[in-house]
Amino acid sequence: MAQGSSPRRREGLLVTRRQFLKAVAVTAGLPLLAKVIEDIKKGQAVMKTLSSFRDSRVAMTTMYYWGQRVTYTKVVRSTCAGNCTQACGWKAYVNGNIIIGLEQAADYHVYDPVVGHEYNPRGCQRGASYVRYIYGPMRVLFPYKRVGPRGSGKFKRITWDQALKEIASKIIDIIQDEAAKYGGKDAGEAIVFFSPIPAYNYISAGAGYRLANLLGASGPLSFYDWYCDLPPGETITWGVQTEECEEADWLNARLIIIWGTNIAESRIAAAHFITNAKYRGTKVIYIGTDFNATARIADEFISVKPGTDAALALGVAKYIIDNKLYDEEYVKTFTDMPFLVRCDTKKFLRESDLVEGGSPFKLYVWDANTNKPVVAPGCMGDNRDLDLKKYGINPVLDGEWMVKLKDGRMVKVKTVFRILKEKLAEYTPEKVSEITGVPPEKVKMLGELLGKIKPAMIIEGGGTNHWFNNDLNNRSMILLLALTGNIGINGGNFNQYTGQYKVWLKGLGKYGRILKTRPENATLYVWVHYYTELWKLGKTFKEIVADIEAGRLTKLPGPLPGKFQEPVSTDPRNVRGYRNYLILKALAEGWVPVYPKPPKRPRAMIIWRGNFLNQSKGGFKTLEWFKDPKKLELIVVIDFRMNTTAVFADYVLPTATWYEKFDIETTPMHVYIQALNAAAQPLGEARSDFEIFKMLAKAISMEAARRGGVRFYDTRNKVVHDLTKVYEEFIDAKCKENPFFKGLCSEGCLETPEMAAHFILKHSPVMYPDPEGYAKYKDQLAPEVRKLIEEKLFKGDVDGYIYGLLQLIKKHPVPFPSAQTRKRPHTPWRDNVEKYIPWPAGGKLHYETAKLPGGVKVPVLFISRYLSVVPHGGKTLTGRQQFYIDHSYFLALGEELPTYKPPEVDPLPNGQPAPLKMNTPHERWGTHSTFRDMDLLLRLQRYMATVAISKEDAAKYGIRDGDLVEVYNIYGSFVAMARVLPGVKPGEVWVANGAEMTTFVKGWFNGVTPIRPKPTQAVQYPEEAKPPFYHIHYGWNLWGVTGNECDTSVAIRKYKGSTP
Amino acid sequence: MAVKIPDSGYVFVIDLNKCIGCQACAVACKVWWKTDQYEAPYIWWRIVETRPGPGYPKNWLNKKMLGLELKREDYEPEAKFRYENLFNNKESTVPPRIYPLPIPQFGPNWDWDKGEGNKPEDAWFFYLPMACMHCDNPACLRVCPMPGTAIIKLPEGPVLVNPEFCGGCMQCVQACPYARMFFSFERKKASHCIMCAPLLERGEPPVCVRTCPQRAIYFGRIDDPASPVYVLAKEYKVALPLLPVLAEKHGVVPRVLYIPPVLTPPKPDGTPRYDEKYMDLMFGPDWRRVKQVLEQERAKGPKSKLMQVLTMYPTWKL
Repeated sequence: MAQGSSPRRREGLLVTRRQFLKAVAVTAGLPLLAKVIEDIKKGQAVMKTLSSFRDSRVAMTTMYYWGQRVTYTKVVRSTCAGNCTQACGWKAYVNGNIIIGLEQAADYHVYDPVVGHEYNPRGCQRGASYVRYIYGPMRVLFPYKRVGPRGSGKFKRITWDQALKEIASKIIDIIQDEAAKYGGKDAGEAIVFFSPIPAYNYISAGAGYRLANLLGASGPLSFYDWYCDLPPGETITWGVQTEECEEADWLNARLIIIWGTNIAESRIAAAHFITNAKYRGTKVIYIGTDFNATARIADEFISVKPGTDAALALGVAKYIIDNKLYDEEYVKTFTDMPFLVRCDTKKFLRESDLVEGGSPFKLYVWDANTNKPVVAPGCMGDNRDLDLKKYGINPVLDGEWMVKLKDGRMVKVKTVFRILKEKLAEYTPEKVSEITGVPPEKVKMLGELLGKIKPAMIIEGGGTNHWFNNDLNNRSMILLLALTGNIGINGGNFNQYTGQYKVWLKGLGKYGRILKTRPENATLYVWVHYYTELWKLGKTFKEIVADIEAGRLTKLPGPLPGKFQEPVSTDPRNVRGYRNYLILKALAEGWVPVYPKPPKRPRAMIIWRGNFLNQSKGGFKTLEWFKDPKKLELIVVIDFRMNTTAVFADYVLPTATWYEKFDIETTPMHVYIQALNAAAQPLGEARSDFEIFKMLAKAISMEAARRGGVRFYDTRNKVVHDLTKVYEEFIDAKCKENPFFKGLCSEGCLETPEMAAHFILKHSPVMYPDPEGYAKYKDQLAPEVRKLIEEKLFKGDVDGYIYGLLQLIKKHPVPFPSAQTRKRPHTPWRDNVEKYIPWPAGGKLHYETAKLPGGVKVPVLFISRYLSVVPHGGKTLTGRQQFYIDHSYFLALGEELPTYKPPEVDPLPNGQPAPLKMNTPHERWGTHSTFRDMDLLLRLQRYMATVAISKEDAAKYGIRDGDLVEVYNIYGSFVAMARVLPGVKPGEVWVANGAEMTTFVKGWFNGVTPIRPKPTQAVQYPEEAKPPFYHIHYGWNLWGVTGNECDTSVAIRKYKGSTP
Repeated sequence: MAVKIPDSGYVFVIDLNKCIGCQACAVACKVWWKTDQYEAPYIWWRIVETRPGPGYPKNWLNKKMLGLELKREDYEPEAKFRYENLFNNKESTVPPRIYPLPIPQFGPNWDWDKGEGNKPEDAWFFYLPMACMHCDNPACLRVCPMPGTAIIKLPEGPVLVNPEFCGGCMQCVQACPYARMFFSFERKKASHCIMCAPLLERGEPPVCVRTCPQRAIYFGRIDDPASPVYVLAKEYKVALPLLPVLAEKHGVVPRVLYIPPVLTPPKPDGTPRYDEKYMDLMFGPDWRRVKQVLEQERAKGPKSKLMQVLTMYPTWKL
């Protein structure tokens, strides 16, 4: 158009009155114009930013046209709760009862004067897309009952009343049947409860755990170890679950090594801390297999062959030691490096070796001052701290001597450091390069950087943690930071963030009565029952082990028939058989709990807030159980969406989404407590998880009463379960547990989610200020929080304090008062280094409390205020960061020190080793399986499950981008679309962790994964009887056998079949 | 550099060194403006492209360079997910499958994370968030048969379509050098990013700016020295117009500027990972100077004003 280029038009707005009226008259008509003008008049006061809208009526009309889409009546803050670990606050814009849009709350500064805007805005595309779940076609809006075979996708809508009655009735049927079979004892055991990651909504999870307790059921099954997010190397080295700094501390690092975690995809809300640190001068290194979004934002990208990371770390450790780049004072004081180890037994030299009646928990270092072995201060059997100078001890780091045992024999002892040096000799840069594919000069570069830049941190993730030898990976990496004195300082530490594991609020355990139920390791639960089907042997663990030792049992019943059956053997040369034997021995010893115990087997599963089947390693066997109503007689799934597990359920109950219920949430990535709030009423007939469990408790009580009472004895917890009382106990009808609400409630003091939240917060020590730090750090508290502390808490009104805090939490995130009255940002181990406290929690100190004004008692140590230290723990055997583990399993497998072991290999159906590694990374389109079935995000990732493959391998196997390909091994196969990517490492394919079975053409990713339990993760340590503390001990999600899957090997070929 | 940087009004600056391709801006835009329902599902006012790559619509850059027209098949196909199978499966598959049939062969973000190269050691790509550039002297407006009515340009910068007045001639779609004018082939209406004008009017920044978790999108008045966009585009001159060749050819002055993706890790041999010719095409030769400035300022650490702005929050000043 000629007009278009007129100079006037180019300047900007150009609408003549004539054009405008014409346009309005033609297309819209005058009533619209009148409405527009009226609206504009009303809104005149806010029209400030775009002044030009006032100048043009066309602009006004246009504005009105678009403005209608973003009209809302209220804004409600809630929190995204997808177990991506990030816990981001979102504001829901609501019109009537409909949420029209979501926006990051960006309010982390409101009650946090210290960190300010650093955490804002926080939230990613997954969170932004969540409205599509609330109103999407996969949303479960009504109770459903299965009408076709399991998994057929044939359901009918039923009423809540029918659903609850039928489920209650079936549960009681099973309980009565079990009671009849097993003499009235432990009749609830066959019902198994599973709900992962309570930290992303404590009440929804806790309500179900509480019901499990009241039914004497099995579980709750663990998840953190099962999902392989637990870094076992941390427990082995430090005696804790996982200790990490909050994200804001990344900014304090001068060197960040991102190792095996794709932060830019799986930690999107946190990724700006990396780019911000980088802009402020921090050097960022990414070590991973692929060139991906995280590699892009690094200064250096080091591509490593899958599963060889420990070799790289040990090569760097060798360089650091050889070039004396380690921090000698730190290593002598805070690690086990100077400890003496006997060369004959490979065990630590103990007082019981030297002195009649000596303690097996007193260990030695060689003192240079006196030139003799002395008991190391602060080791497990010694009550001093780690301040060696105070005790006049100067341990020799590198040496070997002869010592005389109590029987007069002379044995050679070496320091751990000496043994480590000898072991590391083989990890030359050239050898490491051969194993890892990393050029030798890069190995040296890493050593130089780590030796010279401080503070330095490693951020680790699933990429190196989801391996069979994940403990060795963790330990090798921690070693680098301990050698360089980077553990226990701001900007340092080994920070492993995978999963929303950390239970900051200890009150959860009390509310859900978890320890009084049957908390167990899910990996071994699945391995024992679904995978190897040990119940088929009809024997107990002890009998099974006896049979193996007598040579009567050489194969387990599952998972595969014929030559691929799992072997068992006491012969270490039979590698797989020996491992299975060690696992079974650990089960027989009771080091790791599994319920029900063989020959009993599970019969029902109640699953909520999780997608058990889809995410089950060894999925090809788990699927058999889910398909067969004779094996699992009842499967109940409570979810807001029809996920893969729900498709296989007998009953699917509709739950409220994250914007339709109240709950509380925390994460290890920051120290804020946040609320989920109901922005809208639950859609359809959905109810909150809490409400559903409350209704189910009532239905069970009524059904039990109808049957004239159902009672049985629980031998584990030594209580009698009376099912007619389930409901009144569930809601605390007697107001004994939560008396604050006595007189304020209608039926019981735990009858609403708010009351449960109050109870949980009240019993969580992190909610109280630090007794020592309050005076010094009170200015770090928001005035609102300080007021509550001083006017309520310190005057003895604990309930008033908690109630007041909860009201604040509903509005904006509140940093834990405990964390806020210490130095922020939070980073672990600072207390240990600054105050010479033995690892992890000073032994007895772990159990000591201090009194706040007003009378509340709080554990003295910060680390003791949340779930982290293993049960009965408090000290590692050496009282230090311990790299040498003299447990018999570790010695038998050659893993007493961090070492490198090549990845495991799975066979193909023809028995040949499968050539490719199958990685299952957490990439950006989902949080595990959540979001993986959502149209909006599927459209951004080729509409279905995909397999990424390198250019080189694609050429080798004749695969083009966009082809459907079959990935297979001995366990099974799946079909998905190939993506040929230059950034993928040859020798590897990857499929997104959590891709829903319903998005594959055939099978799914867990259809090809085995369960490969590692014996070193089933131990209790020390092995000697009655230790004062445990260094390693089973703890629900704190320590347990991990369900690793990255060693899975596969082959790939073009798929030529049909596409159902 | 012949392409001018605007002297007044609102400007976006997007830091491509920070962008991680998460599509949060694209998703938030889709959710807030409900283009699936009101326009058409394949209309993505905002989308993050992996470059080099086909982008969205498919191969738009090649087509614009060659002067070819955009057609329906260049956009996301109609894809119906089979969700009803989850509740009432009419097919025999166990479990039901929900992916669309026929399986689409193209879509928005189809080649994410692909780029160039052969193996991790030499692979290279960057993310390029794309939306209407709100050009001065907009090409769309110039060809519109109802200029100033169906498409208007405000002095503060925004270019707005009013679909109520749009006749559906599609000339603007073909005229836009950046292929950011979208067209609903069913409704015969053009539409594009509206700079969230109704929100802006309330004193709030556009949704994409607020949503970016990487804080990579800056927004403000280019004539306000206190605005981050002024510091980036005028003071340090690190923000450049995209595809200056096309901008020049069409005589447009884009209001979305980009900090070129120059801070990428080198290849193992120390040579830069990016393809210089491609960078020249996308940002003009000036990206080399930008790289120098960024590296110099980064070495100064947090005291550099540029680095302060590049790490600041909020990223907007209205």
